[in-house]
Amino acid sequence: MANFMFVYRGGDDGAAEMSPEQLQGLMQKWNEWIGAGMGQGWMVDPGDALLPESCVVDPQGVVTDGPFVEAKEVVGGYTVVQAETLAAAAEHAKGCPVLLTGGRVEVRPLAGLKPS
Amino acid sequence: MSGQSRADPAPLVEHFFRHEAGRLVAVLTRVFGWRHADLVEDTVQAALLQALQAWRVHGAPADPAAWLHRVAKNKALDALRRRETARRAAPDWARRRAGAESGSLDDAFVETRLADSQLRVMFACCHPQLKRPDQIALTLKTLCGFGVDEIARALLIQQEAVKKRLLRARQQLQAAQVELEVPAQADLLPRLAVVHQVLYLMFNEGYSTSHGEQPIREDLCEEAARLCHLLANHPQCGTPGTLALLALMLFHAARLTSRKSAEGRLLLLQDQDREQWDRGLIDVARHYLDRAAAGTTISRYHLEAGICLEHCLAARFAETNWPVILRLYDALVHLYPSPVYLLNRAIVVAQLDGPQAGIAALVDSAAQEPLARWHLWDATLGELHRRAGDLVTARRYLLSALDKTASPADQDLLRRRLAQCDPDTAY
Repeated sequence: MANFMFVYRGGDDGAAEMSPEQLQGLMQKWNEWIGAGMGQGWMVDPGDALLPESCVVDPQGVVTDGPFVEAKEVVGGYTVVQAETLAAAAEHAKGCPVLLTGGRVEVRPLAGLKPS
Repeated sequence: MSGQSRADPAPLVEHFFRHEAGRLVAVLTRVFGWRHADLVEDTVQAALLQALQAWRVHGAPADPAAWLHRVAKNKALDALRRRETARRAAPDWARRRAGAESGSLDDAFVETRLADSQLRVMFACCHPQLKRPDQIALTLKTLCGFGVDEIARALLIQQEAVKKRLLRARQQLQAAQVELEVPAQADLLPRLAVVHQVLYLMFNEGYSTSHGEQPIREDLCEEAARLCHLLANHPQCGTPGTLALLALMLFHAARLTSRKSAEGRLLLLQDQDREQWDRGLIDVARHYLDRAAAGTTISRYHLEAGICLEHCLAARFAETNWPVILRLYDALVHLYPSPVYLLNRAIVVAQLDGPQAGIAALVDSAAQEPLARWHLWDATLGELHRRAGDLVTARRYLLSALDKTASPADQDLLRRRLAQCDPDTAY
């Protein structure tokens, strides 16, 4: 077993067009997906969402607003899961609700061993 | 974090986002005015999106409404600050009430003011200068948190038509400089009458079977009743007419689920399973109707609610008190000689005095009203002729009714009636 991080990119612009009722439905799907993953044990940490306000510190120590990247590249949150292989982790990612609003899931193996 | 320590979040109440969006839009419209409808919508949408992001992982906080109001208030303050900056740069860009707004923003989210803001916006959405279809679309968008596509599905019109209605309504409210207020005593009753008509139509639009059945349409009934509740709880707006309208909606709502069979087919009153009627809701409706009777006025809503009550009191269809119902329809037809009431009165006459008497009542009233294009007219005549045993005439009317409706549910009902008029299988 190894740990993987799901990094969610984009999808917020898809949600921006939704009606309040649809947004509530989307949130319900997130809660259910996370509830199922934690219940079945393959999800290690549901992680968190990242809010849009941000700044960047450069090597000179200068702080600027941003980064201003394309909406579909913005990282919106992360989750930690465990799986035997990268492919098995990717299978779990297929159920993630971020895909419903046009977002993508980047699946990255964590370098450290799982703490025992 | 381990799986054991994570408690399953309590799910939000149904339609939480939709109803909160309606409340927030009302409050912020009062702060910013109709001319900044886009700004108001963007602010509310941003607050809802932030809630989605913050709550999707660990669920909603203990008091989600307070959380959402705080976020919306901060976003509104940001918008006001940006506007203030722009105003200084271009002084004539926005002259209205600058500065005073941010101070009053805290008060705006107090519970009593939330209800008051919704009522003010309701009176504006139902302003007499707006066309009736525009009033309904604007009410659904502004007070009920419906998206454009949801309004289109609920009213069975194109999305482009919804956008046009909303744009036209907002422009007219701005041009007429309609104040956001609950009308003063002298204006209150006529203005309230328009609000009643809009809510009544919104409810009927959801309840009526003339356009086929979709789940979203039950939402229309629910929203109309919710807004009527708001009116009923206001000291000046909770008139006998308001209470009677609310009673009428709740009587209908109590029977909503029994109107469809397990296969989703429409069921007539005599075929409905009365065990499914919501007795608790019927009691609440009776309570409002009792209170509505306290005044000296009698409205169509009183009479219609009275008819509903009679149906609800009958344990079986055969025990319906038709003489009382006929008297109520007589009073209704006297007040409002509308085709719907004339038709329903004729059906009651047929229950009391037989199908021929019902047919005679229909033919009498047909002389006064242009009803030939209405499928229910032919459908009723067909049914009464069937009961009178004249299957040939019955078939003619039922086929004519079939030609005049596009609703699959209505067509299904008519075909089942037609099958009963087949001389080989008739019983």
